[in-house]
Amino acid sequence: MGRINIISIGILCFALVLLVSGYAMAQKNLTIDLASDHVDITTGFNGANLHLFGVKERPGDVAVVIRGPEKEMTVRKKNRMLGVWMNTEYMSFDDVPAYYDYAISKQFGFNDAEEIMLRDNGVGLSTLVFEPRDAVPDRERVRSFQEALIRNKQMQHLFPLEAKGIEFLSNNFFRTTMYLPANVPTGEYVIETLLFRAGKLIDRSATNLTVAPVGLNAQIYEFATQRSFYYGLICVFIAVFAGWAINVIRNQ
Amino acid sequence: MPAETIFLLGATVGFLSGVFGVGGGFLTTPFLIFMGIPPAVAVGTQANQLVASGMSGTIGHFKRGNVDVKIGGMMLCGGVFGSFIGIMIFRLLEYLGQIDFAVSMLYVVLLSSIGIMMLSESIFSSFKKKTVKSDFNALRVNPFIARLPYKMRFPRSKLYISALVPISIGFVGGILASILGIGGGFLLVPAMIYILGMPTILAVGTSLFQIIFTTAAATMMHATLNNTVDIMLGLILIVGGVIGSQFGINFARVIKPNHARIILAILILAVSARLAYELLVQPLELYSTVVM
Repeated sequence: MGRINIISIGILCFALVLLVSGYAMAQKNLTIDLASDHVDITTGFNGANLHLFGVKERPGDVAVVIRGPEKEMTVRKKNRMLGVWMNTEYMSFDDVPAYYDYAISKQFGFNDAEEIMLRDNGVGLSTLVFEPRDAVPDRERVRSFQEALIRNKQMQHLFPLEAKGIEFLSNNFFRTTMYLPANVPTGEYVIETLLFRAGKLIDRSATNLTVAPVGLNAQIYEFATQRSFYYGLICVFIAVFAGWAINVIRNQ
Repeated sequence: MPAETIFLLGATVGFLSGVFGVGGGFLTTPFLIFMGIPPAVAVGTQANQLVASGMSGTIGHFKRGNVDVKIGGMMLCGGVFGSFIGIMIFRLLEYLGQIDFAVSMLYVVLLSSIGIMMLSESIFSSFKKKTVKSDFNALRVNPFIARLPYKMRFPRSKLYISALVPISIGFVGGILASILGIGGGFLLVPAMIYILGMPTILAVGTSLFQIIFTTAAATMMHATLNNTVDIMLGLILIVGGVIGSQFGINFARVIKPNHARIILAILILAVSARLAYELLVQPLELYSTVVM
């Protein structure tokens, strides 16, 4: 009798735990959404603002990270050779995000635990350290190339200079705006939002963003890359026709 | 890149080509590079644009009978092969990260020598009277060239020379078209006059005729192997060029040809100086990045 009671209480407790955890799972701590899940690169594309909205159910700070597709990048360095400046050194890096930007609700006053947590989760400029593909023993040289990579990306507005802010519209409702410049690389972007408190990650949520050319430009681009032979033929044909048309116009 | 800027560039170069009677490819490519268009795209697109200007130029010359199709045919065989070799060199340089340097360097050499030549010629010709030369076969053919095999008759130009000579000249033109995005008329026409011994008027028409095919081949190869032909950019340049050249032709009637040449020479030297400056002066940023 006593034994059965213990088992049934055990089952009851287990069910309760399941129920509670299930409830906790169903009730998200963090919900985010983009005003639009795609950015269209049209002919006159001149950069776009990206609005992200979110709601957090628990107290804490929020960080948002946006990352473009990862690519292999080569950094080249010019040196003076026979009086002229030309590329003589290079270093290749794998998996460099084509675009990176981040926003954080707390701009300063991080403690060590928070800094480590943020770095482990890929938030901040300090996480943008890439190792050269081929092992280079000279660390000083590696550092100068790594710094040059970040600096070049920053000059192209593809990496940020500092963290953006996150605006709270109420205690729980927040908004942030990222700017994608005119030269933004196309591809699949991932936007990750982190909720953290006292150095601990409470919850994270991710959403995707597609940056793709649309309209006439996109069709031309696709045709030029997929059917390059026919594209070349059409280019030549158009030019021949244009040359003939110029002549007709001139003679009138 | 705003379309208006490209259009203005096309119109400006078109104006200059109308005034001076030059193709203008050797000015468009450096200006596109100054504007921040990657050299590969500038050269590929420019090759496409040259098909149009070659075509429009040839029609006029063809109607007046100023095209030697047989010599042109030989030249374009060499030209197509030269384009192929040029594209291979281009790809290799791109892979090595030296294409920007090579294109700038070649332009500095070409433009400064043309500029200096034009300038000295214009200055001297304003002092001394032009000597009248007979147009046909004014120069004796070089004995080395006379000894080359595969001799052929070219009745239109009244020549009997080795087919290797026009093929080689076309070959050089093809390399220039595919690496620098120029028709190379300023180099081919003197070569045809002084090496082949062709009459000037036929040399101009025939050079334009073979430029169509050489640049068409270069366009095809840039489009298929490098994906660097931008048809929208090319079309804007063509349209801008047509409108600009109309103004240029009218303007050419107002100014003296010799003055026009001096102005063009100075302009060419200025472009060359700008390119040389960038090669010689330490850049602010030594490092550059490229997506592989």
